[in-house]
Amino acid sequence: MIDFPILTWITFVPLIGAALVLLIPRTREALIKWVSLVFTAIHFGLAILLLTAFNPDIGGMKLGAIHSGMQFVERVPWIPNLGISYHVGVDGLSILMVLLSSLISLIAIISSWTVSDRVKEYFFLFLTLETGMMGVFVSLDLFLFFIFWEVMLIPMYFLIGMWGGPRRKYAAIKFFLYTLIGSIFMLVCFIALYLVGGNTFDLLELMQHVPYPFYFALPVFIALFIGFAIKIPLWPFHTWLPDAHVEASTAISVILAGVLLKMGTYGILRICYPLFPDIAVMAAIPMAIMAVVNIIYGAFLALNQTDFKKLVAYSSISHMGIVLLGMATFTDHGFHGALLQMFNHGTVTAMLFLLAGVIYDRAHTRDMNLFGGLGVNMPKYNGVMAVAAFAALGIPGLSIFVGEFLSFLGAFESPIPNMLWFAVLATTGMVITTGYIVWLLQRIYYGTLNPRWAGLPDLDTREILMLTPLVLVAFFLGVYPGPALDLMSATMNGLLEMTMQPAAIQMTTLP
Amino acid sequence: MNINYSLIAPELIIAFVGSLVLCLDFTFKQTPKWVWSWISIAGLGVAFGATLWVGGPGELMLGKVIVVDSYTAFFRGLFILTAILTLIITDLYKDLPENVKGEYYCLVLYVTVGMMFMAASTDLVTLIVSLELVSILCYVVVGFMRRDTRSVEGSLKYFVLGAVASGIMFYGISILYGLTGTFQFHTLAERIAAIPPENELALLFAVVVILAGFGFKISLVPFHMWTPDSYQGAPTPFTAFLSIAPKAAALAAMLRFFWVSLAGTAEIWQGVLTVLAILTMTVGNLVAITQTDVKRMMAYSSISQAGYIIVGLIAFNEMGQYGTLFYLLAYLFMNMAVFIVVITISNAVGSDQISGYAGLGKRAPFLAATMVVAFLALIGLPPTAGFVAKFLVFTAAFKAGYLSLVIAGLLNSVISVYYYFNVVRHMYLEEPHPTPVMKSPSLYFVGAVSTAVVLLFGIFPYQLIEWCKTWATAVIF
Repeated sequence: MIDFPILTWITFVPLIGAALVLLIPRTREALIKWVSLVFTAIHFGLAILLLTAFNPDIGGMKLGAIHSGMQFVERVPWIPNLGISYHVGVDGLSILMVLLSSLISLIAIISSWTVSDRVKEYFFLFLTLETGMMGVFVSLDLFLFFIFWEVMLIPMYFLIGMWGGPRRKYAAIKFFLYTLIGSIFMLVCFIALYLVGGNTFDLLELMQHVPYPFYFALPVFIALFIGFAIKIPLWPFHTWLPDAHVEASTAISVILAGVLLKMGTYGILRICYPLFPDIAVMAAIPMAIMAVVNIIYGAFLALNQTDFKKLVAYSSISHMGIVLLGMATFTDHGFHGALLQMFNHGTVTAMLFLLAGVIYDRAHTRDMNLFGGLGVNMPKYNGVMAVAAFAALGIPGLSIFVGEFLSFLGAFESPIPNMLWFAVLATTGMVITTGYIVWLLQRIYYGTLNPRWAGLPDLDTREILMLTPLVLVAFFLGVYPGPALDLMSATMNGLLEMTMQPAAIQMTTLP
Repeated sequence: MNINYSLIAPELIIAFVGSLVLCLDFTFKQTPKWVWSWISIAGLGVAFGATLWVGGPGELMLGKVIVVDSYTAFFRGLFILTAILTLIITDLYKDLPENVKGEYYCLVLYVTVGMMFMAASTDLVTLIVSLELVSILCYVVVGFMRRDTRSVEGSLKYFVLGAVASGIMFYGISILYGLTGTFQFHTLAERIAAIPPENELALLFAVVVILAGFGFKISLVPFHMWTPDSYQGAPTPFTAFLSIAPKAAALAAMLRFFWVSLAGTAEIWQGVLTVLAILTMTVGNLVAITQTDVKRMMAYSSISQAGYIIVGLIAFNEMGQYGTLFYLLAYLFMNMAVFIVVITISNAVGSDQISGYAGLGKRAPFLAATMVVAFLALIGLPPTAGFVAKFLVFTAAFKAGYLSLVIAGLLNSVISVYYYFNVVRHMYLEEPHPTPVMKSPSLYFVGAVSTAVVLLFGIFPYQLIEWCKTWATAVIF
């Protein structure tokens, strides 16, 4: 049906756009913006095309079978003397991330329309970033994965550092250093796998050696996990997140929260679980502990904030904890919930950051205590905000509820002993979430209108345009999550099967 | 004795052109200096052609003191390229007085000849002679800006410490000679294997002392004290040269000598070098953070890079061999790219302070981008050749079981981000420095070539790795 290398196109179309932007004279700002928009729209259009052609009935990776389950595979030798190939493909796990990444990119480009300083550099870096993000989600070769992972980092440094808030320089270098330390952990593990797994970086070939010897697998799993945990971010590696999210400009916060955080959990599901299924099951309880700490600690921190963006940033930490909890349950409900939560958190947090940006553009402050009663003169804004806030809160009928519910359900059903109690603890986090979300709404939108803000205009067309798709997604997946679950089902069940089989053996043989 | 002179044609050509430039410069004092520069560059170009023509037949010559193999050919090419790029950028450097430029060209050519012999030598005496040729000429060129006290200071420091280091190294070599009765690399290997156990302590001492001498030449910590002062004092184009070529030459000689002659004592030098490598990376990077002068920062950066490069030597396996060559070639281009920008800024602002780089992203977008790419390569981030180079040497070390070295090296990459990106921060995130930047086509040319090479071999390293493999196999002849 699709007879051209769609994954290559989808990945490199933004880079072509970036090259074009480089050629446009810097005074033609409108042209630069339109070129970026068009290329990102093509990027998103290709993702939709990919979705229509994707066959959800084929499961993802399977142990010992090279071409199993991955679709639209392209495999070309790249550096054959080091066993590195350009190997890309998608399955139910990555297709959702591909969609999320391209959708959020498109919305962020629309949100970037107001950029007026160094426009050429901004859009060049932004388009490069899109290529890096997409590459991470489609790579099946660890070397390629690592390259895209790092390529994404460099534009991000500049995007935070050049267009951010007052403490942007600090936030940018902090983000860079933290992520780089995570990458170092990953690189060491990849080299170790390369040497043990027969001089190849190919993920599917490396999977043929599963199970790896225990005393090799354990340290590698832990190091890889830490590498990804910094990106998620898990407590105690989370301190880069509030700085980066708050200092970055709106569109960049949207990308950070909407896409970049997902790379951590994606990496664990894509690399750690299939390569070390037995260790993963053993690590279920530690992972659940970290997940619960993230959920509750993140929520408490969010409760304490007066800065709108900071609140959303900490709520991300809390929500990513739910993803990890779902992953740690080793049940099909848990896995489905985790992946769905990754997607939903991406769209809902993007919405919240956009809304924070909208209000900051108008009022030039994000201090929630200064606002009040904005619902009176900004009804459209208030409406969208209500959707976003209630979605984040986990109200049934909106998207995040489904992911959370499935994750918790998974925890209650989990074959891992004592997982139930983590579900109990995690659900208390929901109460705190309700607290900060409702308090947020109350402080900004309800109560008496502060006369200082009486003249703030409501959403304009561009803002409605960028928010509407996200609102629709939040409603659609809240009411009818079936299509999304169908997309991932075969892959997630395959992953579950893969992890649980050797685990059963391990658990019986452990002393 | 029948000597096949065609095999050392590149050296002969360069030596001849060097002498020619010197004589012409004395005779025709009025001729503008760029003429001599282009004659030198043309001579180097011919020598490069000769290098390709000679190739690496693997013949021992001149009484078996040098060998012309593909490994030699690689280093000949590397040194010639470095010299060409150095001469191109020298023309644009304002602070070097016009009247000394003729001698300068000649000396750079002679240094190149010395380095080529270093890489080719298979005999300790030849090695010493060519090493001293290189060192003494370098002392002179570092002190070339006679009116600048920093230049004189750098030169003197370099000379005094260099002389001590050479002395120590010769002492070690004399002990080795006493133990084995030979200077020849491969005879040494056989005789070292036959050394009776009671003499092993003397052997150990000799190896460690020789290592210290080499350590000085490639500026390993704790023998690095001369580096920042001489790098800062030297004319900037020569700093670029100094940070690349003599280091590569010492490393070339070291690889051959250690891998061929001292293969039997591998555990000793691998152990000592592991400690030195970790120290070198860490000290180099940590001290670089505190620098405010870009030339000094680059001096410490080049110290830490030496620490990374010898990781390939320590690994002592096939991947380490070709990884080292790959690293050196990539390093040539990334360092050149940085120094082009340093020269431009020094011409414009008149100092090398990091604050002079403020807002370079706006003042000269191309140069700033060149610098960023070069820094990414020096840090070892993809998609640059620096990443592939580090990947190769660290994987080689991992293969050889040096996990601690790999982890130390990678953590050091993170540390190095801090000071490289300090400059990047100035270039992009700070308000522009008021002085406009002069744009010169030849600097842009060298910058564009370096950046293109760094990116090209970062994204498509396959062919270069294959070539490095062929060049490297000749080390052990």
